[in-house]
Parts: sequence; structure tokens; C-alpha cells
Amino acid sequence: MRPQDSPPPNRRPTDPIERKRRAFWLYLTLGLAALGLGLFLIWALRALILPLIFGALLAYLFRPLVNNFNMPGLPESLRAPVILVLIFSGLIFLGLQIRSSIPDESGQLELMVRLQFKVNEKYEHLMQIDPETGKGNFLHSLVERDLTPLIESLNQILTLDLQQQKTFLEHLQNAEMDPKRAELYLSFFQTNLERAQKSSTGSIARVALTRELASQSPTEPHLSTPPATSPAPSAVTEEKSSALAWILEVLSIWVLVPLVFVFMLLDRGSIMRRFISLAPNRYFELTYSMVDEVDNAIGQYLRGTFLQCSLVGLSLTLGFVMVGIQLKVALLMGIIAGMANAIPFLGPFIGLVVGLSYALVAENISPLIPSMGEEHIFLGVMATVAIAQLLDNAVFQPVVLGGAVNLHPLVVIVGVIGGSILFGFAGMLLAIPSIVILKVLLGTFIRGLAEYRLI
Amino acid sequence: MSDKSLQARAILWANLMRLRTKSSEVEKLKFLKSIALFQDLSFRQIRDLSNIIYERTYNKNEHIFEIQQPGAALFIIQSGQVSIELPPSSLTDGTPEAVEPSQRAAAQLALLGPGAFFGDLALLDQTPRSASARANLKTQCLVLFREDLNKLIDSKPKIACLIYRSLATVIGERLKATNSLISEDAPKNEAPRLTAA
Repeated sequence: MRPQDSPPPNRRPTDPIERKRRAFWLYLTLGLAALGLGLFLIWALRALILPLIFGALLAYLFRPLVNNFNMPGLPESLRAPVILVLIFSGLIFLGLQIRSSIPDESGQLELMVRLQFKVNEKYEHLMQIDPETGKGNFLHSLVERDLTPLIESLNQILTLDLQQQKTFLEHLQNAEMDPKRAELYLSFFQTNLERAQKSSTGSIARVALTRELASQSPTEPHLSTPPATSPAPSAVTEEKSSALAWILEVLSIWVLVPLVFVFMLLDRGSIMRRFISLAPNRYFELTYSMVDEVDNAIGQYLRGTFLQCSLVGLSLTLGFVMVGIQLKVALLMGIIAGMANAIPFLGPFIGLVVGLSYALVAENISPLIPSMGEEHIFLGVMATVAIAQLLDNAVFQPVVLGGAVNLHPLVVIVGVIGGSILFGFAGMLLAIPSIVILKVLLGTFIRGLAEYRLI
Repeated sequence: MSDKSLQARAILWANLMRLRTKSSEVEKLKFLKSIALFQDLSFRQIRDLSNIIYERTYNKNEHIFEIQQPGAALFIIQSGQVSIELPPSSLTDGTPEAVEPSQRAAAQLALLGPGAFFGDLALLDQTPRSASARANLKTQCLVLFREDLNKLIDSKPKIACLIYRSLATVIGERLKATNSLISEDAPKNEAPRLTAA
């Protein structure tokens, strides 16, 4: 027999068993390498995760609009640009409205002074604290150890630094400011300073300087000499450059959001098709069914949550307007509280805190509800938040979400806390959608494997 | 060979490759147009349809789907051959796992070639497959999923309507054929009559 008729088994390159063995090891090695590389990339590029998720979620929200957008006479090639222009115009308009509702720096300082004064005033009134002895009523003796540090830390947050004090006093000297209001806010400011002097947190030198600043009449021209403690020019430049670097860094990461949004929004299923095409023949139909089901479930959940939060925000805005809060402020608070409503358990509390904080400093309110006075605004805000939550639980959630994705309360709590530990506020906001995605993915995967008799 | 001629040759090959790609796409569109389900569609509509159609290649003796699996898609044979068959277990106790692989001798229901399609009932609902499909040769299939067709109802309703009408016609034809088969095989007075009206 010639050697080529009976080659040794291990030298036959076309032996099917040998080929299968080689293919197995090749796929295993490549799979492990891809897994390792993927995990490394996720860890190394973890800063990009949030912008990516955010852009993808936005695309999910707007996708039905793209799919069902149909303008008679509009060529198909122009559909995508028209949709994008409409969406971006809407978002920019909303952004400008929100921006105009946010007070400028001096307005924010004014709010801080008012809030600090009102918080202390209400606290001292509620606890009936004697200014001489520092002792209060029975309630005060009960909660003093817990509440006093909280009030102190709130005071620390709201206390203006030297530069802010100067800006605030300049703001009071503004010609547009009503002199009576200016006098009132100056008295608030001085009371806050005196309080800071009494407390251990305020340093003597600082109080002395701020007193000097405050002693000037609000109608006098503003100070020409800079405060003694103002930072050196080099320090200012350094601070500005580091702030600029931070802004650039954030911008470079978050610029991904519109990019991801546009590409995912205008994608006609090619991402999904490429992903499905990777599946082996045996799992082809299963993969398609799974991806499609997960895609639908996530889209419905996200759009449902968005609608639910919008309805809560709208209810709160209407309620706040009815109790006398200005429309612009009510709209801003409604948007914040509506967005926060996406965070289970904590969301309504955030809405309440935002509402009550403004109720503390609200002045000259004009409620739409008859026989409701300025002193009832607290009650009005609490009633508004309570009604909005009632509507949310009884109407919005059952109708809009329909209990499509139910999570155990414990999972929700652990998820929200875990999200906040990992990614801060954004993590808190995105924790539940991420858990829902995982739940739907796993559930569909296991059910699909059983249906196709693979397990 | 001079640089110029090399450059010219590169451009020629690049254009030839582009033409080849385009012509393969055109071939695919022409092929889809020749399928009974899509004959009513215009070329423009066929092009829209081809965006949601997947291409798959199956090796010889590889299963495309198996009996009792949930149906999700219609398969169109582009090249190769597919055998539609019933495993012996499905003819006895209905448990394919109970039969050893060596003892399996599937009953062949049909042998389909290029241009034929199967699994069309999956376009209507998710009932389990009533038979298995196996590639007899290396086979290339085009695949249309029910969910994609459902989405087409919203985005391009005219195309979806035309496909559903053709599908109804095909199913009606099959029902008529089955009806006549039953009428021929069974005694005339006992034959259960199926109506295709």
C-alpha cells in the first residue's frame, strides 16, 4: 500500500472529528479572549456607560414617533431629518423654558438667605426655643439630639461665603429691587449672620468682616475694595482652568448622548439584524424571538414610566399653581418632582421636599382656591403631593404601566441604593430600568430555551 | 506595468466589485418578486421588504426547525433542497425523546426546491410547528419573521396587506387541494366536507 492511501489519522487535515475538535478549541479561545476583552473594556470605559444608557433610553422613548411619523407629500429621504429637527427643537425649547425658570446667581443667593432665615425661624417657633437659655418645649427636648445637628448642617450649606455675601449685598443695591424687600432681606441676612456668630461653626474673623459688609445700607454704591481674604489671581486662574478641564471632560463624555440617540433612533433595525445574524442556525428563531420580546418589553416599560412621570409632574404643577405658586416656579418644581418620581419610594419624598422648601420662602402668593391664605401654603403643598401620589398609585400606574414588569419591593430598595452607590443620582434614576431589562432578558431567555426544547 | 495602468486596473476592479454587489442585490429582489407571496408587490415595495428579510445558510442534514417548536418565521428556499418530514415518534406516542436516534426513520411529507416556501402558518400565529424541516443539501434560505410583518402593518400597511392577501390565497388553494384529496380518497357518502369558502 502506498503511503498516501493510508495516512496516519492525526495527519488528516479533513478528518471531521479533528476539525470539530480544532473548531471547538478555536471558538473557546476566541470566546474567552472576547469575554476578557469585553470585561476589561467595560471596566476601563465605565465612564461612558451612563451616557450610552441615557442616549439609548432617549432613543427608545422617541422610537414610536419615528416609526409612525407620516407627513403627506414628504419624501422618505427627508423623513429622518425632519423628525430630528422636530425632536431637537422640542428639546431645546423645553431646555430654554427650564433655564428661564432657574434664578440667576444673585437670585439663588437671595433664595438661600431667605430659606436659611425661614428654616431657623420655623424651627425655633415650632420648638419654642428661648433665645437666652436655648431651651425649648417638650418636643425640643425629645428631638434636640437628632434634629439640631441636621439644622446645623443645613445652616452650614446655606451660609454664604465671603464672595457670595458681597454678591448678595450688591444684588440688594440693585435699582430694580424694591427698597422694602431689600430691607427685609437685609434683616434676614443680618439675623443669619448673628445666628452664625452664636453657633460654633462661624469664625469670629469671618463674622466681623461680614458684619462690616452688612452694615452698609443697601442703597449705597457697592464696595470698591475687594475683601481681604479674596484668593490670589494665580489661584483663581488655576481654579478656572480646572473647572474648564472638568467641563470639557464632562462634555466630551456626554456628547455621546446625542450621538447615540441619533444613531439608535434612525436605525432601521440593522443593529438588531446584525446581532441576530451572529446566532447559530439552531438558535436563530429563538434569538430573534428573545431579542424582539425584550425590545418590546423594555420599550413599553420605558415609555410607560416616562408617561407616568410626566403625568405626575403635570398633576404637581397644576396643584402648585392652585395653591398659589408662580407658574414658572411650579413648572420647574413639577419637572424636578416628576423626574424624581422615577425613583421608587424616594421620588415622592423628593417632590415633597422640593415643594415644602419653596413653600418656606414663598411670598405674596395668590392661591386660586378661595379662602386659602398664605399661611396655608404648607398644607396646600402637602395636599398636592399626596393627591398626586394617590393619582399615581390608583390611576397612572395601573393604566399606563399595567403591572407589566413587577418587581419585589426589596429588589427595588436594594437596586436604588446599589445604583446610588455605583453611579450617584444618575445610578439611582437608572437602577430600576436596568433591573427590569435584566429581569425581562433572563425570563425570556429561560422561557425560550424551554419552548425550543433546548433545556 | 506602469503606475497609471495599475491605478486604472484597481479602479476597474473596484467598480466591477461594486457592480457585482449591486447585481447580487438585484438578483435577490428578482428572486423575491418571483415568489407567489410577493408577486403583487412592486419592485420598490420588494426593496422595502428585503430590508426585513434575513439570509441563512444550512448545511446538509441540518435541521431548519423541528416539530413542536414555536413557529416564528416563514422560510423561502433560495438554493438547495429541504425535506419536510414527520419524525416516527410524532406518529406514535408524540414524544420524540422516547425514540433512539438510530431508530428514527422520518416520514417525508414533501421535498422542496428553490423558490418554494414553508412554515408560512407561522406568519399568522405562534402555534407549534406541525412538521420538521431539514436541509437535504447545503441550502440557502430567506427568512421573514411574523413580528417584522406585524410591524410592517404600522409602517407600510399597503405592503403588509398585499402579503396577507397572497398568504390567504395560498392557504385557500391548499385547503381546496386537501378538500379534493379527501373527496377522492374517502367513499363519497362518508367524506367529511371541508369548505374553503
